[in-house]
Amino acid sequence: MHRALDPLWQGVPVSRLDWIILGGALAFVVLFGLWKGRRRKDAEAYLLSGRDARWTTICLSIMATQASAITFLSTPGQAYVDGMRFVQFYLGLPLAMVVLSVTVVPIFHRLKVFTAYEYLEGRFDLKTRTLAAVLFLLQRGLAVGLTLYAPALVLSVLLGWNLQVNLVLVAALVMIYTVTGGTKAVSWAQSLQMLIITGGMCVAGFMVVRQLPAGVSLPDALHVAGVLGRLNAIDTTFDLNTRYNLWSGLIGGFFLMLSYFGTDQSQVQRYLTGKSVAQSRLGLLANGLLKVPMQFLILLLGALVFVYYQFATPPVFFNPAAVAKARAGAEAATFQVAETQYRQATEARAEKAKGFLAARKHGNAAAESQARADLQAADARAQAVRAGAVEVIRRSDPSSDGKDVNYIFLSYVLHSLPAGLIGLVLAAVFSASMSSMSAEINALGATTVVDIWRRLLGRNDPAKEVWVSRIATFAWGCFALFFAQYASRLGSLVEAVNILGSLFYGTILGIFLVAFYVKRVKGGAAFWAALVAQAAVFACFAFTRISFLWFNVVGCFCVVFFALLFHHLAPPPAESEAILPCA
Amino acid sequence: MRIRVYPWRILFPLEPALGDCMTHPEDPPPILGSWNRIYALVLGVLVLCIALLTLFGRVFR
Repeated sequence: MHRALDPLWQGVPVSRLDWIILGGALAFVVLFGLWKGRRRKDAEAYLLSGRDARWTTICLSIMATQASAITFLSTPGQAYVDGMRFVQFYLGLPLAMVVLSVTVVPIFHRLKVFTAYEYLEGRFDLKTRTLAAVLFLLQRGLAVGLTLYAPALVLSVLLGWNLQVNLVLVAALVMIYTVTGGTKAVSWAQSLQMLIITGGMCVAGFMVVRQLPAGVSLPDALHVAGVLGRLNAIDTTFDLNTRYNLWSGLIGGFFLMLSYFGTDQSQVQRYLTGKSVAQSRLGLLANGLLKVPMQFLILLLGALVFVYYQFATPPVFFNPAAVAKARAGAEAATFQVAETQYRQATEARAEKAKGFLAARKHGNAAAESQARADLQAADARAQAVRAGAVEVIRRSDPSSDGKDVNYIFLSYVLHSLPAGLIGLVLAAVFSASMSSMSAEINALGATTVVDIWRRLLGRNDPAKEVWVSRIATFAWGCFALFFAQYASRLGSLVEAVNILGSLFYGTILGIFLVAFYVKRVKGGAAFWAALVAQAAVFACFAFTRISFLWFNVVGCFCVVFFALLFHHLAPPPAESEAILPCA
Repeated sequence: MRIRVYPWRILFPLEPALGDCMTHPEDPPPILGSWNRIYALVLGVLVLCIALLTLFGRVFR
C-alpha cells in the first residue's frame, strides 16, 4: 500500500476523485455559510448572530475554532516524534469550562456585551479596556497567520504551487463567507466543517489500523508503540522545565484555557451567540466533556502512524524540500550514506518488531523481555542515524530548523491512503483551517469595530456598522495573509501557536480576575499592573527555560499582585460605586 | 426558580461592576436536571480520563 519510500513526494498524483471530493466539500462549506449568513442587517445580527444559537451549534463552533488544521497536521506528528504526553496540555480545559460556566458566562450574557473587553470599561476604565483589546488584537492577529499557513503548506506540497498563491486561495475562500455573512455564517459553516473533520480523521484512523501488516492486530500495534515510548500519556513528575506533565497541564493548562475561553474574543464571541445563559453554558461544558478524548484519539492516530512506519520504511526526514536541499548540497554524499544507513536500520527494526510480537504471542517472559530490549536498541540505532541525517540537513540549509513534525501525517496520507480517501482527509484539514481562521478574523473584526472604531474613535453610526465590520474582517484576513509568510520559520506550528498565546493570555486573564474578584482595585492600578506583568512574561520567555504553560500563571499572578501593590501604594480617591445594569 | 448564592460571595462581596448578575434566578439546564450534576459529570469524566490514560500507558509499556 505504501506507494514510495522517497520523501520527494511533490509529484504524488492526486486522483480526479480526490479533487472532486476536496473541491466539492470546500465549495459546499462556502455556499452553506453564504446561505446561512444572508440578510445580516445590524451589528448584533452580523457580530453575534442575533443571539439565537443553541448549545449544540455553540459547542461545535467552539471546538471548530480551537481545533485548527494545525491540530490535525501537527498533533499526530507530535505523537510520532514525542509520544502522547501532549494530551496533558488539555487536562486543564474541563476545569476551566466549569469555572467559566459558573462565573463569566452569566456576567457577559446579562450585561449584553459584544466583546469581553467592553466589560472592562464599566469595571475599570477606557485605557484598561483598550489595553486588553490591543493585546488580543496583537496576539490573535499574529496567530491567525499560523492558522492560515498550515493548509497552504498542504497545497504547495501537493501541487508544487507557489506558497503565496496557495495562501491567497485559502484566505479568499474563508473571507468570502466570513466577510459576507458574519458570525452566523461562521457558526453554521463550522458545524458542517466539524462533521467533515470527524469523518476525515475517523477514516484515517480506520485505514492506518487496516494497513498494519498481516498478523499485527491493534493491541499488537499498541504494544509496539508502548515499548518504543509513544504511549506515555501521563507524566506525574513535577518539573517546571518539562513542557508537558500532569501538573503543567492541570495548572498551567487551566490558566491558559481560562484565559483563552474567558477572555479571547474568538471564543467569547462563540458563546455570546447563545440564546440564553443555559445554552451558552451547555455549549462550553460539552466542549469540556469532549476535548480530552478527542485530542487523545488524534494523538493515538499519530502513534499508530508511528507503528505503521515500523513495518514500512519511512523517509529519513519527512520534509521533502529539506531533503532535496541536502541531496543537492555540499554534503550530498554524507547524506546519501545516512539515508542508506537509515533504511538498513529501519529494516532491522521492523524485524525486531516482528520478533517482539512473536515472543509476546509465545508467552515466554524471558524471550519477550529480550525481544523488547532488542526492539528498543534497534529503535535507538534508527533514531541515532536519523539524528545524524538531520544534522546534515541543518548544515546544508542553515535556515532549516531540523523539524518535520508538520509533514509526518500528511506524508502518510499521501503515500498510503487510496484514491478518494486522500480527498476526504484533505477536506478535513482544510475545513479545520477555514473554521479557525473564519472565527478568528470574525472576532478580530468585532473587536476592531466595537472596542476601537465605535468606542475609541467615537464613531457611533449603526447604519455603517455592518459595512465597517466587513471591512475590518477583510483587513484582518489580509494581515493574516501577510504574517503567514513567516510561519515556516516557527517549527512545530501547534506549539508555536500555543507559545504565542501563552505570552499574552496570562496578563489578559489577570486583568479579568482582578475585575471580577478584587473589588477595591480600580483602573489605574490594574492598567499599570498589566504592563508590568506583560514585561515579566517577556522576561521569562527571553531569559528562563520554564515551560511556556507557566507563562500563563506568571502573567496572571503578576497582574493580581502588582494591582494590589499599586492600589496599596496609591489608593484612588473614594467614589460612589456604580452598578452596571444587568439585562 | 431559586436564587443561587455562590459560596465565594462570602469571601468576595458583590462587585460593583457585576451588579446583581451573580444572583439572578438560574435557568435549569435542558438535560440532567441540575447544573451541579452537569459540572460533576464534566469533572468526573476528566478524572476518569486521567486514570484511563495512566492505565493505558502502563498496560502497553
